[in-house]
Amino acid sequence: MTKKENDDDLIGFKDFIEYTDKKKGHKRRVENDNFELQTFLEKDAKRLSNQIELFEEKAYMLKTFSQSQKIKEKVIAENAELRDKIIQKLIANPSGLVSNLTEVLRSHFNS
Amino acid sequence: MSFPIFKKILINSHVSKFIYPQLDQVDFGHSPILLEIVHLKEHQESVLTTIENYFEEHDLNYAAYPIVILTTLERYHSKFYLTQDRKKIPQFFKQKLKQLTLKENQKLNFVELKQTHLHNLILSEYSKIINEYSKNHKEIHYLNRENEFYKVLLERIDS
Repeated sequence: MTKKENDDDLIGFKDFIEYTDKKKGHKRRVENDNFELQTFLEKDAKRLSNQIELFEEKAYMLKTFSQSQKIKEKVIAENAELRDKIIQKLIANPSGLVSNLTEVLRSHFNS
Repeated sequence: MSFPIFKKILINSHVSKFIYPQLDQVDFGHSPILLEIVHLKEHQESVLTTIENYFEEHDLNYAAYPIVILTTLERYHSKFYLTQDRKKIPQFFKQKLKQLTLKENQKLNFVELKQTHLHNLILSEYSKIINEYSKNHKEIHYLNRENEFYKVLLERIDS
């Protein structure tokens, strides 16, 4: 059977075939678009769950087992210790600060 | 139930006695809201204050979804997200709404359930705990900076 004869056989059916193809393509597009909405809703539900978890579970943990006060006390104590060390080093004789100041004052008053 | 995408609300007047009834009709906390006040020009600041007062007086729980205010004001410190540009509005909530399938309707019902859960929480209690936590951490941050400074100073003295 030649191509021309084949085309003749399809007369009357062409529109129908093309119509069904178009319809299939359209359906596929709609399905993809809907999938976007489904993903959006899933993400939104996850987002809301995270918020609930933050408010209910994490806030409860923060209230009941707060570590902030102890951390603050520890850092304050460490800072006081460091301050003491610095002061001791600065007032020690001969410290870098004392020797530098002595040098500056000597050069100023001698001249 | 409404789909959680941005709902645009044009504030009609700058007079508080008209703004309040308009805000009464809005379902805050069930979908993101875009309040537009650009057209009110020189009254924008007073309108913003009125909106903030409305939220304080009604103790509204709007944690689930953001409230964005479209305004030309730049230097105004607000608890809401202010923007001058429509493009800066969170894109996540910009969706083309279509007829929902059965599965999507189920998901939407699930979202609604979560919204109700979040809506029933007494947020003022939780936000107090979270604010306290953030305040403490800010203090720890400053103490740590002081600590770093002392360490550097000590190193320089030793060298």
